Amino acid sequence: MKGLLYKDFVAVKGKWISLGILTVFILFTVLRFLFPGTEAGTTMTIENANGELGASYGELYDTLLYFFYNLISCVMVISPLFFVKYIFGQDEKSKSKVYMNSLPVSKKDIVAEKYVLYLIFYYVISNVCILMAMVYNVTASYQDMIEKVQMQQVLVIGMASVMLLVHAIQFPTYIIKGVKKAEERDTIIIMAIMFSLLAIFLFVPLDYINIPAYIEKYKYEIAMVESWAFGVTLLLYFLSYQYTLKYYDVGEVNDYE
Amino acid sequence: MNNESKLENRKLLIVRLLIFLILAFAFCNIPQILFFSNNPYYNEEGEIAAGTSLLLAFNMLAPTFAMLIVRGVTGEGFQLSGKDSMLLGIRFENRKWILFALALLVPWFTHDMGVIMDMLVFKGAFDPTVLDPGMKKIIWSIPAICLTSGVVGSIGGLGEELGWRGYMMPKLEKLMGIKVAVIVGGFIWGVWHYVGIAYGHNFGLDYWGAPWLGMLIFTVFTIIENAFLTYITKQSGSVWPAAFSHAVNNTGVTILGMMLNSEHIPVFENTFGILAMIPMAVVGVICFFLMGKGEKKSFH
Repeated sequence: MKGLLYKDFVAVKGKWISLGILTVFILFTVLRFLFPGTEAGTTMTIENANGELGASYGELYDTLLYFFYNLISCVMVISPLFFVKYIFGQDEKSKSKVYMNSLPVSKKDIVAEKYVLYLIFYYVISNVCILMAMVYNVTASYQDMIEKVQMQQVLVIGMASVMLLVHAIQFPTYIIKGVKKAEERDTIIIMAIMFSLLAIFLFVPLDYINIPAYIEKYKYEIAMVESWAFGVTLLLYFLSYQYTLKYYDVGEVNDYE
Repeated sequence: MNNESKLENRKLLIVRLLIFLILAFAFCNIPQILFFSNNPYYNEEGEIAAGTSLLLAFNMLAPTFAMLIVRGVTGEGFQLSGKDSMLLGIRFENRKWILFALALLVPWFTHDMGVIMDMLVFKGAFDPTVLDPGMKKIIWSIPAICLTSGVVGSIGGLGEELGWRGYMMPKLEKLMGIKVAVIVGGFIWGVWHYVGIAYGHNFGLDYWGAPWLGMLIFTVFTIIENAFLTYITKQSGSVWPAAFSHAVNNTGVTILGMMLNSEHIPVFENTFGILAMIPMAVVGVICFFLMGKGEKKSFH
């Protein structure tokens, strides 16, 4: 398993990615200390052009860093999605099943490796995002910082849950049927979602899709679903692994040619 | 192996351990002293100073940095799993997944049992009216949030566990046997926190005998906790369960705690949670004796 993980780590140029993340983190930390800004997260009163007083948040005074930090967090959480095709494509291109079959690795290891690799990706990314949240909010008071970091944690965990759910759907086809069929399947799913959304916005009366009202009405239910979402996602991810393991054939997929 | 080479190995083990401890203490305590000397833990408004949580979060990584440096300098290598490794491998077979489940659930269970102890002893401590009505509707989401953030955001826990349970404990066990190692290791882990406690971390400074009593009580806690964390590390051959458990423990996961009226609890108990510590102590003692029984089983 360790060897297989290393293979994919090299395939995605993991060393360079790690160095990139470290550089971004250091750069972000340096910028934070060079431009301490105001107390991020604190509410302050500001006067607008009409002379009216209104509440504002510390972030407004740290626009550049706030943008940088949120952009980097989003890019980092979404980026593993773009490696999927590449990793599986490389495997097929180099006919890695042939040499994997000649090595002392079990079918279970071969399938589990891909699932574990993505768990490692999201674990590292989530923690880097949380550390960045701490650095960003370093000038905030202790309580503010805890709240801000928790908010960032909820956001990152939510995004990682969605990504894992996508992989739980993607991986069985990529591993069992090969990249070409998986891509076809992905396209069909994306098109179906796009057309469904289009149909909803075109034909459903706007009153029925008043999302803010639903959020307000079902806020407690949403909070409950949110809190258990990661656990449920992990369970689905595990079931996806079991399914793939059951139908995985050690023979070579030649679709790539 | 002859006696001479055994002695050489023992010397090398002690040297590695000493370098590790010096670095782990230096990386944590020197920044704390420098920071808190200029920014008191509590500012003039009585609030915890800005920047404190970032400092404390990075302090938690100190044992890992120390471990990595010692491994690099003394040629010990950076093996991820196996003998003399960093114990980063994960195995679920032979029912080892139970240890992961225990790692996540024991902090929750012991915290809530601790709250029950307080509720049983102090009249009026159980008070459901203190619970916010909104919170009442999502009370079951609290453990989920704590467990999730404990697992996903366990970098701090991992930072400490890679050093203490992953590096220090196997070496202490080789030197003095598991029973003594658990006590000595827990003591060292406790002492590592002393600078923070001296400045007011964990207990504040507004109590009788501050900060010495806080240090003493915290050391008792670290010895108890060390027994549990060492047990799950030894049994699973991995630092991950301990890292998750440490992180979940730091979230202070509890459901009953939200129905605890602290006004009916004496200040001493509110500050130190002696009664609340009893359930964890029971778990620690059980783990201590279980490890004593299977003393021959190594970390790997």
